[in-house]
Amino acid sequence: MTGSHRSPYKGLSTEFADHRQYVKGDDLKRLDWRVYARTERYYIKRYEESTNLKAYILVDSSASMAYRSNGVSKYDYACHLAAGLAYVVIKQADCAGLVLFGEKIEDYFPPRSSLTHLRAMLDALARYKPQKKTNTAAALHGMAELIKRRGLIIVISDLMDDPEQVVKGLAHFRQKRHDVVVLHVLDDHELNFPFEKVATFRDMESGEKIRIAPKDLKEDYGKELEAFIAHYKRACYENNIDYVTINTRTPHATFLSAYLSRREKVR
Amino acid sequence: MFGLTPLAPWFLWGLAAVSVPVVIHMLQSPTAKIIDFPCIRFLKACQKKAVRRTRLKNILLMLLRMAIIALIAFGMAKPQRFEEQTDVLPDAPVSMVIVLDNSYSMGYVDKGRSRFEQAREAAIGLLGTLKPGDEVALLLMNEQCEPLLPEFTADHERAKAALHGAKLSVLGTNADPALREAIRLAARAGTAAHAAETRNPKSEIRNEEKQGQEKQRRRLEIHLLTDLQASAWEPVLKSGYLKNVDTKATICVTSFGRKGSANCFVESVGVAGTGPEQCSVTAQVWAVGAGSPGGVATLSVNDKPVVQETLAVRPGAPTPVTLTTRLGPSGTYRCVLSIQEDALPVDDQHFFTVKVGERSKVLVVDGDPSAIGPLAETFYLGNALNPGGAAGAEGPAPVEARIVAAAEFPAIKLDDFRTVVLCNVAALDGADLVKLEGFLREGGCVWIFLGAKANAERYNQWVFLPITLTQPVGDASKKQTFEFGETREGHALFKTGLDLRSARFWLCWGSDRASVKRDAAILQSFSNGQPALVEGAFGKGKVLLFTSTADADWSNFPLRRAFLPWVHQVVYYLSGADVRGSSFRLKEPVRFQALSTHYKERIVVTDPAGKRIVLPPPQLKGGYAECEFRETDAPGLYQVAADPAFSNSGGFGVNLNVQESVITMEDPDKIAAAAPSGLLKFVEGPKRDVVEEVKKSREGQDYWPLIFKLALLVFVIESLFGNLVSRAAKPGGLKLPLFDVLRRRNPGVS
Repeated sequence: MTGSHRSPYKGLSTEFADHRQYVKGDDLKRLDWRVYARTERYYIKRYEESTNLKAYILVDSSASMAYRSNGVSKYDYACHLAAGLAYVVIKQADCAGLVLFGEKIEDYFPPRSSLTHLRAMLDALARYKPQKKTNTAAALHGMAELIKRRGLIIVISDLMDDPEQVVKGLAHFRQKRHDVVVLHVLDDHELNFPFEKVATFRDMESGEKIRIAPKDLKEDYGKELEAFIAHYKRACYENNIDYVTINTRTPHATFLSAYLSRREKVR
Repeated sequence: MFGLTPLAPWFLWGLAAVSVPVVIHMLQSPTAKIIDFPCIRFLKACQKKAVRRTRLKNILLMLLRMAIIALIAFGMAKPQRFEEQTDVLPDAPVSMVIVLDNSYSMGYVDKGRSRFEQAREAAIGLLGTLKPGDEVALLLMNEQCEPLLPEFTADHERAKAALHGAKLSVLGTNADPALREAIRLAARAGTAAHAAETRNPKSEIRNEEKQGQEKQRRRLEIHLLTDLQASAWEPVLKSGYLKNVDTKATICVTSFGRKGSANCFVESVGVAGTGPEQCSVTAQVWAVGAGSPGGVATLSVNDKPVVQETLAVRPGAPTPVTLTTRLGPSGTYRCVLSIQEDALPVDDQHFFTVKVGERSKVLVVDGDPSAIGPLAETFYLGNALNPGGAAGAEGPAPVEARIVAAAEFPAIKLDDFRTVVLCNVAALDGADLVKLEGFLREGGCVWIFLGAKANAERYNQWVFLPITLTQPVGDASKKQTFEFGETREGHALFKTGLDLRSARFWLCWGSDRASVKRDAAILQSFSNGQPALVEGAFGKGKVLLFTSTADADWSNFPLRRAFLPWVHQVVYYLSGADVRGSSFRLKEPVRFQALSTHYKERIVVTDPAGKRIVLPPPQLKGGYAECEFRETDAPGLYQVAADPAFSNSGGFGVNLNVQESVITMEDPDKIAAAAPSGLLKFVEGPKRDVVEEVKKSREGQDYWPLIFKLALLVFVIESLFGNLVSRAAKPGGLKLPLFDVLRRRNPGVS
C-alpha cells in the first residue's frame, strides 16, 4: 500500500523517472542495456519512488506558545493544526510523525501510518503543556540530524527566537533535501497590539518586565513585527520553504482547508 | 506687559495656577497592570524612541494647559492697550500740535468740498476731543511753515477761531519744515498748562520736579492734516530727518488725498510775434491722474475773451495749444489763458502780459552808395530790414526802412523816424550833427556801423559816441579772422540766444575800453578783445555802435543766416517795435532795467489786489538803472508805472509754481519706512474719521475678549492634541495576504 503523496525519492519503482550514469557499486540489474547498445555507455535507469510519504510535524511547545487572547492559545492552535495535518496524512496511507520541541526535543513520535499511532500523538499533544524557554534552532538542527530519510517537515511555531538561527535550522532541513513547511502561528493581540493603557509587560519565557504606554509604542511595535515576519518570509522564500503566517483568530479548519487546497494547486 | 495695562490687576494672581499642570505632570505615576506577553523583544526595541516622544507630547500638553490657565488669568485682569504711548494713562492731559496743509493743491474739490475745508473741519473736530487743561498749537504747512498759533494754548476757542481764519495759500508744499517745527513744539509741551497753573495762586508752590513729572505724563500728539502730495514728502524722505528724530510724540498723518485724482493745468505760456501787432500764444497744458480731460482753452486780452481753441490732453505729457490773435496798436496787453475749470481751479489760468512796440520807421544813411546794388554799403542791411519787399497780406512790416545816401541826409527831416542807422558815414558836421543830437534828445535812437570811410578823429568829437575810436584792427588779407566774443549777461539783446558763431571778421575799428562814457556799456566784444557793440545814451535816446561794417567788406557776417534776425532784434530793441510776453513764477523777483538816463521817477507796481508798491530807487550799474520787485506773492496780473524804456515796464503776470499741480500721493508705507517703527500713524481721511480714530487711541483697546478667544483656541488645540496623543495609532493592524484569501473564501468568518 502506498500513500497518495508524491515521495521526494527517486529509486526503485515502476514509474520511470530518468537516467543516471553508472558508478561503481551500482546494481548491475538496473543497467539500461538498450542505451548501452545504442551509445556504448553505461546508464542506470531511475524510477519515481511511490513509497509512503513520511511527514514530520514539529510543534513548538515553548512557554510563549501558551499566550492566548481569545480562548485559544497559540499552542492549542498549533495542536489543532498538527492533529488535522497528521490525520490527513495518515488517512491518505502516508506516515506521520510528531516532534514536540522547546529548548530541546521534548517528545518524538516516529512516522507511522496507523490510527493507533495518531491517537498516541494526539494524547501527547493534549498532555503536554507549553513551558520552558525556546531554542527553536537547536531543536531544528537536532531533528535535521535525527531524520535520515527525506520527508515532509512541517514546523508549527511562533518562531520567537533568534530569526537568523531559526532560518539556519530550517535551511538545515533543506540541505537534507526535505520538503519544509513553516506555519508561523501568531495571536491576534500579537499582530494588532490593541493595548491602550499603561501596563507592565512580562516576557512569558524570560520573565523580564517592561512598563510602557502601549498606545505610544503601537506604531513602532507594528513596524518591528512586520520586519520580523518579513525576514522569515524572505528567508523562507530564498530557501524554497513554504511559509505561512496564521492568526489564531482564523478557525483552524478554515485555514487547513485553504492551505491544503493551495498545496494541491502547487503540486 | 506687552504695552498692555490690566484694569483688574488682582486677577493676575491667577497666573500662579499655571503651576498646577506642572505639579500634576510631576506627580503623574500611572498604576500599571501586568500583562504576560510573548513579543516583549519588539517592545524593548522601540521603547527608547517612544519614551522620548511620549515625554515630548506630555510636555507639550502641559505647556498648552499652562497657556490656557495663564490666558484665562490674564484675560480676567482685563488688559487694555493704549496706542503709541504706553507710559501715559488714558486720562493724561494732551498736548496737541495740529499742522494744517494749506498748499493750493488742498483746494482740490472732492464731492463738492475742498480738501482744505475737510481738513479744517477735521482739525476743529480734533479740538473738540480736548478737555480743559489740554493744550494745542497750530501750524500751517505750505512751502514754509507758517505758525497760526506758534505757542501752546489752553484756550481752545482761540484755536478754533484761528482755524476758521486759516486760508488756502497759493504755494506748494514742503512737509519738512512743518514737521521739524511741530516736533520742536511738542518738546515744549506743558508750557500752556504750566502757565495756567502758575496763574492760580494756590498752586504757585509747585516745584520743578513735579512739573517734570507732569510733562512726562502728558500725551503728545502731532496731527498732520494733508493731501499727502509726493512733492511735499520728497524733502523729508531725502533729508532722513524722521529716521533719527527723538520725540515722545505720536505723529498722526491724516490724508485727504485720493489716489489717481485727475487734474489739468497750464504749465507755461510762450509768446511770439507772428506779424505786426499780432502774436501767437503757445500754452503747455498738462493732465495728471485718471481720465483725460479735454475742453477749451481761452485767451482773454484785457479781460475780454478773444480766441478759443479745443484741446484734448493726454495724461502724463504736456500738450501744446497755440492761439493766435491780433492785438492792436502798441502798448501792453493783460492776457489770461484759461482752460476749462476742473476740481482744482486755481491752476487752470496762466497770467501774462504782451507788450507790442510801436511800428518803427528807420532811416538808413549809406556812406558808400553804389549804382550796383550789391556793392552798396547798405545792400545787406536794407534787405534785412525789408525782407518781404512790399507790404504783404498780413499788413505793413513792423519796420519801415528808408535808405538814403549820406549826401541826402541834410535834406531829410528826422521827426518821422524812430531810428537812424549810419553806415560807413565819413563824418557829420555842423547842422547835420546838431540835427542828430536833437533827434537823440527827443528820444530817437542812432545805430552806427563803421567802415573804411569812417573818420575816427571826427567821430570822436561826437558827444553821443559812447566810446573813443582809435584805428582799424585786424588783417585786411583775411588770413586771420576773429568772431563774436563775450556778451553782457542779462541784456535784453541776448535773451533770445541767437547763434552768431558762424560770423567771421577780419577788420574792425579799435576802441579804447577805458574811454567808455559814464552812461555807456560794452554789450558785446570780439574774440580779439575789441568791443563789438557799445550802447550809450544821449538825451532820451539810445546810441548803439557796431565797430565793423554793415556790408561784407570787413566780415562775412551780412552773408550769414543769423544776420537778418540779429538786425531785427537790434532794431526792435532800439525802437521797441517787437511783441514780448512777460510772466513770472510766484516768489520770482522781477527785474527792471534801463539805461540810467531813462530813470526819472520811482517805479510803482500795482499787485492783483490793487495794492500800490513803490520800488526803492534803482541801483546804477555800468550805465544802467536796475531794481527788483520781490513781492510776487499772489498769482495774477501786475501793473507797472515806469519809463517805457524799462524792461517789464508795461506790467507782468505772476503764476503758480505748478509742481504742486501734479497731484500724486506719496505711499504711506514709504514714509513709515523712513521713520522709527510706531512713530507715524496714517489715517485715510476720506474713508475714516480721524476724530474717532484719535478718541479710540486715547481710550485704549480692550484685549481681554481677544485673550479669551485665544484661550478657547488653545483649549481646542489641547483637546485635539490630547485626543491625537491618546488615540490608537492605526486600526486594523497588519495586513496578511493569506488572511485576505481566507476572508474572501469564508465571508462569514472574521
